[in-house]
Amino acid sequence: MRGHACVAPPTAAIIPGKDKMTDHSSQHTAVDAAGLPAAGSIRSAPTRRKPRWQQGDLAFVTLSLAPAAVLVSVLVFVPVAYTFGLSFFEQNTLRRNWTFAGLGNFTEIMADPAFWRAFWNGLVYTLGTTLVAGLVGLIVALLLDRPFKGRGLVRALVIFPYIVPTIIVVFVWKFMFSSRGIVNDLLRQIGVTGSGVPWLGDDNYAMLVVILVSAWAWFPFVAITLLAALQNMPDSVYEAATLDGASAFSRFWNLTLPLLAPAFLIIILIRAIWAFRNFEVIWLLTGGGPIGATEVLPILAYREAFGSFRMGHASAIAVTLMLFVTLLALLYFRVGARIRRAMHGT
Amino acid sequence: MNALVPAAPPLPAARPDQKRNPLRRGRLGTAGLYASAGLLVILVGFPFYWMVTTSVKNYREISIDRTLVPRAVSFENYTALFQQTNIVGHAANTLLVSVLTTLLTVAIAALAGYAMTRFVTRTGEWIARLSLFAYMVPSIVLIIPFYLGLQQAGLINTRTGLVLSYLSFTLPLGVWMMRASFEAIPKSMEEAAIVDGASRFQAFALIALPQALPSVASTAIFVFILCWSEYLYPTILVSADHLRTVTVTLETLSGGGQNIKFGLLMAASTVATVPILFIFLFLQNYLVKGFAAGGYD
Repeated sequence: MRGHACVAPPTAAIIPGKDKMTDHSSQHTAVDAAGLPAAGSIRSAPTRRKPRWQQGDLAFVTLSLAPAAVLVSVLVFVPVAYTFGLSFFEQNTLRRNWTFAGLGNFTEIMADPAFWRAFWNGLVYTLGTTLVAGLVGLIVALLLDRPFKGRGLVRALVIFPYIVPTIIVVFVWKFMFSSRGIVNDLLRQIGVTGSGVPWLGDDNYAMLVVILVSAWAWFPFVAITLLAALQNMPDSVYEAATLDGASAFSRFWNLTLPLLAPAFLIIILIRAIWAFRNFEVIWLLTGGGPIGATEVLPILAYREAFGSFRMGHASAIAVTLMLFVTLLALLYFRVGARIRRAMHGT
Repeated sequence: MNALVPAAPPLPAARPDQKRNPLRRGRLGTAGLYASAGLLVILVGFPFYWMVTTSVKNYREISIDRTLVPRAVSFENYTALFQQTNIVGHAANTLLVSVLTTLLTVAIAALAGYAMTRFVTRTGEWIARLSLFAYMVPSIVLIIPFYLGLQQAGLINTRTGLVLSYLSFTLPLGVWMMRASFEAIPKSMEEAAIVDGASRFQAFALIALPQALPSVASTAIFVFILCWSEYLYPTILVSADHLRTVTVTLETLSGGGQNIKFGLLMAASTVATVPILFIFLFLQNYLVKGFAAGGYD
């Protein structure tokens, strides 16, 4: 469930307000082509008023910001710097000695096929889970946007996989995908396979199962946030489009999807970041196996650090991982800022 | 939920309009709509049904007969669970650590979030981005320094060490969420109170905070769930039995290679789901709101 919420996005900020709609035709061609201003402005740009500083305010600001600033620095930024520094050393916890290695650790991992395999596995895993969770999430959001009896209950139920501890999700699915599990029983019933497939023990299927289980845990996040975006969409545009004779599919393709795109993009990016840095799901499902088929960078680093106790080496892997996550984060902030600019017209 | 908070009424009630997506009635038909909803319920619900029913089946039914509905309810897995593991003690410890972390996070993050929206607003935006970035830092990057540092400080195998490691992800998230919620609270009432002679802290504690309470609750619930579910830090930073968390108990039970006792594991999983189920059943509104509370900005 880590990795939710930082987004929690789109409802307010991403959905365009009526005032800006017509000014930014490039962003919303479909709407503008119909010549319709969207109704229901969601949020106006924040007014930044100069605060009136009172006596004692400086003390208040300092005292209220200090605990968070100090703790986050000490608990996150200092450790990141430490890992970065450690990656230039040869350090073995068992021997407790530090030897400067320069870029030695990095050249070593770059020359290691296991590193590149983990990197590619990470890309496949990230793309796979993001795609599946994104698509299923979109379909579920569209479904839950339709009124039907019991919708509230279904919507509530959908949240559940997302808030249950990952380790439990993993073990339940591990059980279901075990060689004598329900998945094999089901496949045998419908006659697909005769003997059971050892899903997680087979290097042809392990990655697929890992991707499906992760997507199952994460699609609710996509669905619920997209649903919020959908329900904030202005009705009048649809009414007008219907009056103009647009078919249901045309309305979906030309209105819903373009209006949903910014929120979708942000959610997908967030999911990609969390997939790429994910450790638990794969570690608990397969431990990176069989024979490295699902090994990704966090697992490689973990095994170097707490299996072989080669902390310098592990740090170098962690630093490269951090580099990729930073790139994705920058992209996320970049895209977020652009979407916001397009919406608020600043 | 507090009516004073204008931010994000998350999921509005059903509207009668039926003209938005191709899943509308008439195209796929009502039957199709209900069929898809049913499929969704099975997709989401079945694994949990399987978890709970497996936990009350006997060994024969789990591995040989593999019945879809348990023929007889047996509590042998639970008896074995409570005899072989100290899961209740571990759950109590997890609860303690999670509640402590949650309280600290909410208190610290609420103050910071407030100051970021009332005073250093420009810098506040950057701090918010920085904390979101801090939240994205992979735990594997932090675990090595935590392990070495806490060992140096003599905090390995202590509750303090555990809480500190949890704060490394709850605090960045908390600051991000709290700032978003204070941003949505109008400043005019506080300004009036200050003109009337209230101190800044009074304005925060008596006027802004009560308005932010629903968001505080959402943040607290999310943080609590994160702590309850945390797996990596407790496995590495704690080994004494009385400091174990439920996630570690679960992991120990999953050992044994091909011969995992799934009945036992499903019973433990069911026990560990109870607090989450409680939140799900009784604090649903805050949970849904939490999805929108980060307020992407």
